[in-house]
Amino acid sequence: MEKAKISPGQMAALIFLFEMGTALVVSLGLDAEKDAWIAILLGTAGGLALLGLYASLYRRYPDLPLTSYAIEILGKWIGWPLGLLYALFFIYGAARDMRDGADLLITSVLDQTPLVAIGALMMLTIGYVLHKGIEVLARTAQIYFAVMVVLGVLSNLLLIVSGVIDVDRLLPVLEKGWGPVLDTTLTQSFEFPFAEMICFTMLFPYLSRPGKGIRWSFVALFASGLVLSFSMAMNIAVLGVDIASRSTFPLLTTISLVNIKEFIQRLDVFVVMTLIIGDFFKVAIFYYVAVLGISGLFRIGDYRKLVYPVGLIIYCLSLIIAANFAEHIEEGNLALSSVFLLFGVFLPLLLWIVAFVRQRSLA
Amino acid sequence: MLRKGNVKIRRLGLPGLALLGLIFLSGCWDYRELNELSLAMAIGIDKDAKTGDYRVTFQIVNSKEIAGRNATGAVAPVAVFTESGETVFEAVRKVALKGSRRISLQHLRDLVIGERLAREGVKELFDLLERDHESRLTTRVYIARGTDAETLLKTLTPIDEIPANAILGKIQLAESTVGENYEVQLVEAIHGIYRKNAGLAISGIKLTGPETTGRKRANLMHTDPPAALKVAGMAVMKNGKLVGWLNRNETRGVAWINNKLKSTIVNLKCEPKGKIAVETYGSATKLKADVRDDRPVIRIIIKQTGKVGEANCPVDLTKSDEIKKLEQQWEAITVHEVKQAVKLAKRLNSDILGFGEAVQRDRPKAWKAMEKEWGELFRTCKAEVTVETVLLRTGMTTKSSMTNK
Repeated sequence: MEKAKISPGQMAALIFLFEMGTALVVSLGLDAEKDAWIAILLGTAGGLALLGLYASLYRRYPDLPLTSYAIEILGKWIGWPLGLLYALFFIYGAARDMRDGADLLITSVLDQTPLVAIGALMMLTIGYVLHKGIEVLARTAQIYFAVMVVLGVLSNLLLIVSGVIDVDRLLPVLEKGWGPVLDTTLTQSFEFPFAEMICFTMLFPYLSRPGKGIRWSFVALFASGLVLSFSMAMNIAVLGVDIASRSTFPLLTTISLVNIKEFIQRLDVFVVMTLIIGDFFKVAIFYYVAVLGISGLFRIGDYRKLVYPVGLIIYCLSLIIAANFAEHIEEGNLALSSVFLLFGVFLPLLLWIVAFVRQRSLA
Repeated sequence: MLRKGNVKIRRLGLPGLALLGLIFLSGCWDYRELNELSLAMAIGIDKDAKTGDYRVTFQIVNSKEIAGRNATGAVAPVAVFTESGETVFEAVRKVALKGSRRISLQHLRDLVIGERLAREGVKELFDLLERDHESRLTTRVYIARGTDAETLLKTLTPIDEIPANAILGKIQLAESTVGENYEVQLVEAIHGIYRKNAGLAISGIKLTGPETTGRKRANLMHTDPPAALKVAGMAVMKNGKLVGWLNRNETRGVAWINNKLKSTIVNLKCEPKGKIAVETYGSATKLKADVRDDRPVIRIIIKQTGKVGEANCPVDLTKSDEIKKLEQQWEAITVHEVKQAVKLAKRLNSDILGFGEAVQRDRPKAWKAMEKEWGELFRTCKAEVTVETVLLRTGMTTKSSMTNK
């Protein structure tokens, strides 16, 4: 741990940007077709419950990150390897998101630029910020939170003005019943991006005002769930569910339809900026908590020594993680319902139960 | 130790970073300068009758002729190239070879499909335009009526120098002043073409006059150019194939039902003789679906407002009774025209009116049973039309000048 403090507002901004991440631009929950937005809302509910679990663990160990209280709870012999697994998971998460962002960028705008170049630039920037410390990242988040809000409000306004929204396309609601919606929630929209909140169990100890900080975290998570759900509903209302679900980035296609009198058009850059900002924070947070975990586990005093080595690992991993975009997505879907579920839900739940039982037996 | 490292970084790292900056900051990887690009304004797709290949035509701006000062007036404002290929993409790439620059699809406004290809089916055409990251779903789609897209795109137009813009302008004008045609964007076309048992109406453009004249700048030396492009009704598509045409006087009802009508002129009769022209300000249409005796019933609800544009008869427009009478007549004409459009759509057996979607929206459970047989059900479904009209104003005069005669 470094000596740093994050204010509740900064934490909220970090959480919001983290949740927007790549989730905002990809076809999230579209397996539930027209009802994707419901699946996302249900996912949000799950995410809030999960955050409750993390918060409860945090209240029990207000000064320790996940990788350290795992040792406290399970003992050295099980806790330490588990912490290491978590560190590896965070590295994997960072690499996945790095690849997500870079691939999306290439497909959408920079079609000739190699992955290697985009990844290197992104990684160097993030590494530099993390070298400066978590407080710098948190302050950056506040600024970009404002940028995101402006972009979001402006895009929606322009979509409304250009008259491309047809709410009828969202009807009928629940045409095929709750089955597909629940299925999508469980396999997709709950894990991504809500179970990824596990990263923040590493960051909560930095909160300057724990009580308020946790409350704001809930608000930020809820707000980001609403925004994700709303923007997906918007995509479907603009494109229709066929085109939306075929599209690699529904949001990009949606915004490209803005055309006000042949004059205000081609606003793709809004979405590309959103993508870059979101991906930046998502990778940065995964990356930071990985570094934090490793420095704690191996008792390395200054975490900064690890920033560039771990960065290099993430960078290389992001390049070799999959041979092509299709494989990457396929792997992602598999990982979501296995790895992310295990590390985001089951293991924290196990920790919580063990901690609870041990406290009971001690009392 | 850390200090020492820092010094080292400063001594070696900073110049290194500066050098790195030279590589990364000097420009984009994907940069394409404007003088290396050809801006395609319109794309036309036909089918080669002999080989079955796609023939792709691009209308490319001759930027020197368009950008004011350097215009010579001697060269055509656009260059039009055609090439064929087994896939649309292949043909697109080959077309570029006829010019000397890479073709950019970013400003593509019009997609014109030749009638013969449209009759054979257009389902294969749209993947490229949906997949490519440069093209946009706002591109408008047209059918070249009675000709091929190539011929159409090679015709020069007066006033709007770039024919692609002229085509778009004509359609938009038709949409906003007479309500006879409406523009169909790629996104709507894709929606209508791939949805099962759905139909789609696409504006048609035809060429009048000798095509060989239309290709030369000399065509524009006439006050009324002998070869001209004209808006020509709407093509009715079903399952991606052209099945028939609606003529000018038949398209307005379709526009009404699809909520595309913005403004139009309706002529009302006047006692004892003469006509009154009413201009529609705005019109909003809603479709509601019911199911009665297992049969779909569509309610078409139209609300419109307008004003009197011309009154060539002795009518006292200061009286609200007279206005009411006119409103009733106006309503009756609208109902008749809308019903006519329904009849036409049924005859062509293509659900260009969005009835299927209305049923799916309002009666999702019944739709499940109807979905498969919708092709048949559409022909037998009932349509009820309600029209509400409000005549808001009578213009700059009240009584007609003929009132006293």
